[in-house]
Amino acid sequence: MDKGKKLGNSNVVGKPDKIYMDLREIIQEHAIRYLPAKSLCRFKAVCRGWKLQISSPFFEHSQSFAFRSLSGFFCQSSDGSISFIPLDPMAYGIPDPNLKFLPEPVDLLASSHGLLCCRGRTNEKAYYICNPVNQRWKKLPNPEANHGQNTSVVLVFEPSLLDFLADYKLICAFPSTDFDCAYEFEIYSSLENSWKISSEIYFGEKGRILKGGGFHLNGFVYWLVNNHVIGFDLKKNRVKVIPCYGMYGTRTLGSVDRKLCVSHRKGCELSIYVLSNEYANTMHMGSESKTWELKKFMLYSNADTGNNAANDCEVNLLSVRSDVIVYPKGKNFLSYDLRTKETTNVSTKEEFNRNSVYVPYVNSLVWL
Amino acid sequence: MASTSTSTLSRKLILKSSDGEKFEVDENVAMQSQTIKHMIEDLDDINSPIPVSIVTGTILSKVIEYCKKHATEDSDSDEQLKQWDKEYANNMDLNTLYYLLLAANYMEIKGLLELITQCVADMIKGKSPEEIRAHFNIKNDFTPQEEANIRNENPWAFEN
Repeated sequence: MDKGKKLGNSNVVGKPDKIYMDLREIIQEHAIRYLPAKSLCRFKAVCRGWKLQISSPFFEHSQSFAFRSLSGFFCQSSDGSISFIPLDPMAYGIPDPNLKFLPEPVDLLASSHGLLCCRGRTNEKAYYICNPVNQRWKKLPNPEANHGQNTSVVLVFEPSLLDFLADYKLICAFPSTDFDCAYEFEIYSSLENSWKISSEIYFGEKGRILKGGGFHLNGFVYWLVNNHVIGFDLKKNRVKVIPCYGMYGTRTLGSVDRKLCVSHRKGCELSIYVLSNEYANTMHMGSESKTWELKKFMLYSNADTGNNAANDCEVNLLSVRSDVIVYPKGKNFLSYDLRTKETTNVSTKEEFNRNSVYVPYVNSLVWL
Repeated sequence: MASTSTSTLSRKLILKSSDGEKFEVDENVAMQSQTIKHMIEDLDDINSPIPVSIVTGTILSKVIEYCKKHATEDSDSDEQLKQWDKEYANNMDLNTLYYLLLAANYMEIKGLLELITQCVADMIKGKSPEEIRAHFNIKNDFTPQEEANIRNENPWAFEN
């Protein structure tokens, strides 16, 4: 037992302060930034130390960087009313789901890492960016182009440890007034606080941009058109077109393992097409390389479905991100973990309605 | 010193837990721990066991399991590694998790510390302030009035 002591040179001693730092301090220093905003607002009541830490601007910043889990959905019904569906009601939440802190009634458009993008319902059709937790908001200047009613909007906000103030972009694909079926792109940048119309035009040769929202991943903003996905390169301001034949039904864009995927569900069958090689169609004949790699999952066993199977086969998945997907089944919401293959029922008063808009949301303290 | 490049890959180190258990590991496995990395730099004789003074054998073996997996980056994809991490953390009971947290913090293994802290955060996110205090043995140092004020400022955070 004493053999180790032979080695006892004084310089082998680590850092005593670290050794004796107990569990409590480690939890406070390292763990609580991985908590969602609602838990944190509640945990201000734990003790003075926690309250002080949770209230500090630097903590808000590091929480918005560390906490990235899908927390729930903002839901806007066809009559315009807005509600919030948390995946876990004690963990995720916001003070006012109706967004009454904004100066006018709004339509929900998009969300990214805790920020929400809405558009005013009055004539001006102003764009707003807000954090519904701390109720800070900003009205964007008017864009140069007339975006009309059928704009497809994607909010891009990547939390960074270096930027204390959220740095985000809003990418709008709007129907061109000069060319039939074509789309133009206008981009708002928070750094410059201004809009810029891109010289790139998507001529709609592969079809119109489908409703149901775009998706941002690795510097590209993607939208579904009929048999293709179009991707707008945020750096080069270019549009690329990726074919996705053979994927039928209502499809949803998402990401698995930092790769773009197109998913659809037919009853209990979930098909996820993961983009593996977007240049596969340019490779030599007979090449084994495929553009999309199909992964299939059984969401529940066929025996559970009863007679309702037909009713919910053509319904969107609500979110396909990292490892968890959320989908409606009948009037309920279910989440399915792709790794553990576990299904969880989302307990909520809200019932799924296919005419409502659902925006996935992360419960972040990000400062706007 | 630190720049003994090629030969260091195959070197073996012996780690010794607080209860005297010895573990032979590849140097690149042990080097995932910043604390051990610094210790080795100061050592003349790397053949003697390196004491990991506050970590027991049971916990140290789990730490080494993690370091081994993460030392051989090429063999698994990111996705597989994440899946492995998730299973690794899910298989721990709460006590083991806390000892691992202490070990990861002491040994300065960034990835393991992040994995366990996220796991702990996930377990406590739905709890009440009272449960948090009881769980981590934290003293309530608010006056009743102060505590009531916090609840009144954020009533939504206390409701289901």
